[in-house]
Amino acid sequence: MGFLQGTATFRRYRVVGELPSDFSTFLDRQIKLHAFRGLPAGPEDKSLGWTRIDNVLDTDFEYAGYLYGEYILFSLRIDRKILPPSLVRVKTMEAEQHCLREKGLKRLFREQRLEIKETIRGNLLQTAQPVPSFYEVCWNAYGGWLLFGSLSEKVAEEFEDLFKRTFSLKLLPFLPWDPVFLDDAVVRSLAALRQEGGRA
Amino acid sequence: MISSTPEENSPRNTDHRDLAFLGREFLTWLWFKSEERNGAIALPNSGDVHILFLRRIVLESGRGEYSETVVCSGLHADLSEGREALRTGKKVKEARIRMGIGNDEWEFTFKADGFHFQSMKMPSGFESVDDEVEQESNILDRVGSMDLVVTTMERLFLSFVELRRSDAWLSLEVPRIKKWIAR
Repeated sequence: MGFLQGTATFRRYRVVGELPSDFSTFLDRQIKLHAFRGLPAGPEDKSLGWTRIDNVLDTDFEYAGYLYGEYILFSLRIDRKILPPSLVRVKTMEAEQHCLREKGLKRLFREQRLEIKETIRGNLLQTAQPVPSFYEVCWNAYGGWLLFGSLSEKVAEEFEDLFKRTFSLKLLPFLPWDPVFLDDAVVRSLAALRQEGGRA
Repeated sequence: MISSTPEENSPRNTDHRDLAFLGREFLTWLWFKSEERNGAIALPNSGDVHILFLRRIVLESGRGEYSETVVCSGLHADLSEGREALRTGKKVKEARIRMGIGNDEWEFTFKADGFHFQSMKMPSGFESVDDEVEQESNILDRVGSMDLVVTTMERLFLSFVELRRSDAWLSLEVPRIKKWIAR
């Protein structure tokens, strides 16, 4: 858990958009609204939401348990049901053979095989146990920046999406060469360097 | 002949991916600077930042399926193979760095393409404690310290950009870098 102890791995974002005037109330309502709720029984394969950073089982956020001085700290929890591809393949093959025998067919159409595969995936997901993952978030709301504790692009995309749905604010990866945050003259001269193919 | 409109030439139309080459150029330059004055790099309006490249450097030319990568690692590696890779046009993609500001020291792997920080060791004194109040103050110190490292790397990058787009880049810095690579 790098933000609280041990070594830390993180990427930085710029948070774009205006904070509501009643930000404290808004934050408290929204973080609770999108808190982690667990994966309902059924074929759903993923569930995600916010938890406290110091106790990932606590999703009540009582007494503004996300506030640490000027920072807002919490965790993203993602529970994912992961089906081993070899298991899906073998179970599908078994079901295909069963179908051939039962209907007295020699071969199945592609659509039939796809349908069988989807049914098998659905059945397996019903009973599979979700695997939880946790990623820390440190947000300086008034400073307009945020640290997120994962370098995985897939996880970052899921985080950006949930953050936007929760707080109606956009996250832009912190890239100091992003033209949006540089003077026009600087961008012009840097773009010219690129066109020259670099001179170093 | 198709001529471009003023709108098309506007810097606002430049995508950040067009300037992403600067990340690796910056890290390559930072390696050179870290060896130029014994690791001390002057930042405008503040003291020196101490930068030391440690144990592991990844260099690459090209991107995606056309990329060629060289990894230099080892406890006692003098990274001479890294300099050899620079001679063939590769640039530093990621590196393990020790950064010193005042009496504090951080160690982290910096990934240039996304400006990412990995496995960052904090300065001593940030260890976890049992007392609740002290614990909160400890967390604030840790987070503040992580932000300090990011903003320092950003300031070093901006300092590189200023130099990179100045005349001094070709007349002064490039000859020094070439001399360092050839060493």
